[in-house]
Amino acid sequence: MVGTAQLVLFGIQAAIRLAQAARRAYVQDTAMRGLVIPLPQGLDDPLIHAQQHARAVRNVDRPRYDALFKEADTQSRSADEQTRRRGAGTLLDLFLKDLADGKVEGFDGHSQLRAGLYAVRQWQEGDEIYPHPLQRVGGALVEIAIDYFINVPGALETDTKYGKTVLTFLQALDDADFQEADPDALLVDLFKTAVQTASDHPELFTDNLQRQQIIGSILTGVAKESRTQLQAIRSRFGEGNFEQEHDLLRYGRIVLQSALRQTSVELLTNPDVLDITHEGQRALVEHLGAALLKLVFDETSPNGAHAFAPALRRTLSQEGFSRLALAALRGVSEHPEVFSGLGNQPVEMWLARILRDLYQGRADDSALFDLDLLPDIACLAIEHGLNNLPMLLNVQGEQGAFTVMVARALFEQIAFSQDGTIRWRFHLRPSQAQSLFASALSALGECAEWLDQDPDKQQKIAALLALGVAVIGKADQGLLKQLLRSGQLPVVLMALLSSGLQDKLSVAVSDRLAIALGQTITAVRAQGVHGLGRLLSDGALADLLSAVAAEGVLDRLLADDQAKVEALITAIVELTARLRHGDFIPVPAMIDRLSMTV
Amino acid sequence: MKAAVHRLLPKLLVIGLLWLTASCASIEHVALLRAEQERFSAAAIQENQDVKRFLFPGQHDILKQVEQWDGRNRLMPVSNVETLEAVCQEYGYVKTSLDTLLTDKARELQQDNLLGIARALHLFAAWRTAYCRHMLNAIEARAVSGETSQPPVALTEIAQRAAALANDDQVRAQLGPRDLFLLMLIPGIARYEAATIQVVRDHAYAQKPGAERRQLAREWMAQMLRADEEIEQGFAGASRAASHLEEYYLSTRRVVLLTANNIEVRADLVGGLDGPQGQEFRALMQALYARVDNFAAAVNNSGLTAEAKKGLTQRLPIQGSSLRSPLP
Repeated sequence: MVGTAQLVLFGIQAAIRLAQAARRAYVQDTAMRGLVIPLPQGLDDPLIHAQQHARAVRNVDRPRYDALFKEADTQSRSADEQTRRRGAGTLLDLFLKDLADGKVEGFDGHSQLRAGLYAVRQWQEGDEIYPHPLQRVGGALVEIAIDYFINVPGALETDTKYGKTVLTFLQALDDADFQEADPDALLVDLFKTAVQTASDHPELFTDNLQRQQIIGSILTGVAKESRTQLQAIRSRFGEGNFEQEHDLLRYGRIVLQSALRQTSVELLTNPDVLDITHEGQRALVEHLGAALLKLVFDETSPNGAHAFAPALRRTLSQEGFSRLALAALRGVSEHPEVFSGLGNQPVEMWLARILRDLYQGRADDSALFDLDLLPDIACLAIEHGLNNLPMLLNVQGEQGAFTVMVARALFEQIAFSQDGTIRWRFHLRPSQAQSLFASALSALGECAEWLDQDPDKQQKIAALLALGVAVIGKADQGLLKQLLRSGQLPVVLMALLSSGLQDKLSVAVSDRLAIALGQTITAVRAQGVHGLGRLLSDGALADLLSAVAAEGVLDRLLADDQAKVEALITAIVELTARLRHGDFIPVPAMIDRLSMTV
Repeated sequence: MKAAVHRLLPKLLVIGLLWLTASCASIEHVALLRAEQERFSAAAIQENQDVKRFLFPGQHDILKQVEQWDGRNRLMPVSNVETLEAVCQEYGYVKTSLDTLLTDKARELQQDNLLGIARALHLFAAWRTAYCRHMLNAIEARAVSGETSQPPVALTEIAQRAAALANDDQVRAQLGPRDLFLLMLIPGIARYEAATIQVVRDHAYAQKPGAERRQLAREWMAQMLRADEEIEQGFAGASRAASHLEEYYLSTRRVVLLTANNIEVRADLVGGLDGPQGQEFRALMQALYARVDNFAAAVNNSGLTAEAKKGLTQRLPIQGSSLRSPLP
């Protein structure tokens, strides 16, 4: 097989120089290449099927024909239009009923025949009927390479990085193991996309063996998955479903472009990251190429594509999907040890679960995630999650990724659906909502070392972060936006996480806590804004929140006695005022002060 | 690097040009031929998609077809007008481009042994253009000078040109086996297509008296059965074909025989056997059944899978089928 790839490359090299031998090969391929031969058109009419069925009934069951079909059959041939239409209607109804009952002969056909749907090569005795796919499309590959390299004389000499990379592409396609019946268009399209992407991102042309392996693995992955999907399309819809096949080509092309483009970015910015030294890692990158395609196009599962696939398709040509590809690539290449123990389809299972949990949530009645933000937020969840594996992504566990839990909890607090469109609370713009997700995930990443791996506790942490954001937003929209603008929201959320409030959170507590915290924020803001920055910059807010969460304080803050609650809030405001001035107050002293008040 | 390439682009182009002229002959004519091959294939795929629905109606949404039935009882080509217009235009482009290529670059094509390939493709494009144009005229009842109730002259000419090309020793030496195979089949297919155009052209068929309808059906069917014979002969004349060419041949015959059968069912020749022309109709029914049995034997003798063989003979009145009426 490698021989075939090399032969095609030699063909390209020679064609670039227009040397006689390759020219002959090009001409020969033109003479031999496949051509789709048009079949003659048949003449048809639905009524004919019904009339033919009536004929069959007449031939084998005359009484039934006479009783049911005869009159309608005769009328359906009448020269009078009204009579004919009446008879035809009845006859068609009888036909459809018998068809539904499986009584119509000749309607259980199949589509195994390829004639007329695929290009037919010139063929004679002794030729292979279906030559090796690379050999079959050799001329087309030469043509593509000529298009791209005509202006770079000598570019495809075997010892240049261009030549080596193109050989990598060809070998990668060869590794995808295309079969005789696979259409040429798929191979040609993938090769063309690879060459075009490399032409737009010349850093992909490399003579570094490891980088070639990565590029080749991605291409092989997308090509293999394209083949699998094509087979699924044909088995599901029959051969020649050009609409589906066209979609597959289109998505394969875009996914390959994104994956290769992001690979080139990663290779440039962090050449040490992608060190594929053994087969297992190479296979992971190959899985990644396949998984990315399967996220947006999947006909292999009985239910068709993932529910979130339309969302990804919408953003395929935008930065979101490319970033997702990059995040996945980083995950796989930086942490092969995590993914390699996950079975046959590690990357696909991992990525699909992240997207599914984020898009649909875990509850049956969860609102669907905002389509435009889905790839970006998934990407943030992965990027922040990678900072502390395996805990933040729960790659190997049954539970969902921790970062996704947080993003999802936040979404449910700050978004609502109106007329099928996602709207953001607190008059947030989509970009501000995105920044909010980033803040929460950043806070989570910073605190990851101290947090719990228990799924229930992780849920509480996610709920607390979402609650914190909602409380600030409800108490003072301006404050929330100011914290976003100044980049201080993560600090506030980190203070919340370090307070330990999450351990005391329950459904009953959440609402009361939200009210009390909201009142506290309002009271603090009533004192002015001077010195608030100091609260955040030296950890004073974290200490204050820890004091509030302390036993004997929190339960009273959540009590029914409103007068006592207000007294406690007044005490918190007083403490805040001292902290604003730069006073150091140890946490136990704060607890004492607040307890005394109560 | 990309920027550097862009800066150097003019120089590189000049170098490339010098290099092209200095090295060897141009490949422009080859590239043009390839482009037209692709255009032709793309149009053919569009057509064949629809024909596949005709070949295997059980796999397609017959309910939808029934729902969309216009009640006019007209036999129509399986491709709709929009598709026919689109492919007609594409085949027309192929023909025009090859007209120019064959005029300007005949010598280069000859030197590269591609003249036969180019001329065959030109003829294929002319064939499809002639068919689509005449069929569109027939569907839309456009009167074209010279078009009467007779078969379209253009298709008759195509059939003659195909036979001539296949027998031209000089061209034949440069023809690939597939192209030669198709050239041998075209006369029969063109005859069939000419008959289908006559059928579609008769917009008033459904309003005519039964006897007249049967008489018309008899004429059209006779043409189609003769076409089927010619296709069979053309196939026998071609070099022994690979299975995919055999599939094409058998699928083509299936189209011809299904259409002939559809015409017969619509006219109900069996119902006219007792009339004044009963003998004539009986002979034609026997001829239809003989061609169908001949076809079934060809399918059985082919190298196709059992399932493919079964699919090819469906909906045809083969021996033993309930679709076959006993002839008194």
